[in-house]
Amino acid sequence: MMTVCSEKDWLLLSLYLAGALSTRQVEGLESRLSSESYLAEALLQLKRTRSLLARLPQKPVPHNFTISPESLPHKQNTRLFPAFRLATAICSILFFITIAFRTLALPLQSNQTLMMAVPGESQRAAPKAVTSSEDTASATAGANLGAPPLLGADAPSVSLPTQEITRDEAYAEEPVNPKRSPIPWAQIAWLLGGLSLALGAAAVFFYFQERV
Amino acid sequence: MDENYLIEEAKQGSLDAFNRLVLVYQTRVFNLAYRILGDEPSAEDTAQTTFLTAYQKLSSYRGGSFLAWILRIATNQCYDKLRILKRHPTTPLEPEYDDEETMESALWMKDTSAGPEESFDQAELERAIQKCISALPVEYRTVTVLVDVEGMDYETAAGVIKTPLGTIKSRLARARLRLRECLMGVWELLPTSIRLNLEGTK
Repeated sequence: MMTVCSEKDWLLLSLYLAGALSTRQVEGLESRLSSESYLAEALLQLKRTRSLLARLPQKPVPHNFTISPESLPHKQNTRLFPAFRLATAICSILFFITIAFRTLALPLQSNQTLMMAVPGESQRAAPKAVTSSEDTASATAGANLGAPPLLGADAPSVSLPTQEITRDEAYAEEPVNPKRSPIPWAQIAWLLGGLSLALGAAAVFFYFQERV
Repeated sequence: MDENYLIEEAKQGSLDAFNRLVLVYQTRVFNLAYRILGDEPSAEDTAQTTFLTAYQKLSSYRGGSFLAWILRIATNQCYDKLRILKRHPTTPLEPEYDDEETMESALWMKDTSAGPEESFDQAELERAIQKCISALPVEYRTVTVLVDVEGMDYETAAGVIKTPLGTIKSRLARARLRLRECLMGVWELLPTSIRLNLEGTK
């Protein structure tokens, strides 16, 4: 019965011929070779294949490939790939720092802004409450809408004519916008992200241009 | 002359030193290109481009085997050439291996030491083997040429084509398996004297 070698056997035989097997593997294979005739036949065929390939003669060169000064291009290209690779890396790092800062630092900053803004309002609102009922009402209402739990202790004795103050007016008078930041983080992140992509594409282009 | 000295001189811009290196390695580069590409004019172009590229990129050579470095350039050039040939296939005006054109191809003139019959057999054998090599997928072909034809060890071949050693081993085993099937027919056609000679060579 004809048995066919598995791919693993072919790999083993190939490595055996190249002398790339360990002593233990060689012993195992040689014992199999003596008992399994199909394996011995496969080895013989591989040996023939190798000897045929090794028999291929070296072709003589049709002419010398020496270089003459005229055949050289006038100007050697400077290597741009390393520069673009570095620039891409820097831009990417800055991009991620910006994103991380925007994600982590802004909520903290907005909380701080809120906490700092509230006492200022109440301090300003308290004296006014004594002199003008209309002003007091608006200030208290505004502060109450902005941060009710912190304001409770500051204005306990004021009567509130609530029907005269609308919610919109209260916000319009003392706007508190915790999201607003003096630095345009979103624009910076967009800019850096775009720059990273463009520089990365250029780096890939120069890599293939300057590849050895 | 010392190879390292020539390389250093060439790095300083000495074309003469580089050309001495070219003379040392041109046969290896040309043969590698010829075995991978399968035709002589393309191999000539590739060998020339290889040396030109090597001279221009010499500053990127960081020591180690200069042969491996230059063969890596040659292999990359061969891949580029194959890509171009695939995109723009060309048909030769005169069939190079047409049996009826043998007298015009001057193959019979090449080896004067052997008899004409033996030379013809040799040329036929070479042609058949090259045909089998050319039928392999390019990545198998490259490994076969480097290891089985050029006689490199696995590590050097892995360095030349920048491929892991395990990949080289498995590619070579598969390539040999395919070549075995293709070359079995060639083997049967070989004269007994050559067969016995090859059996003895191993």
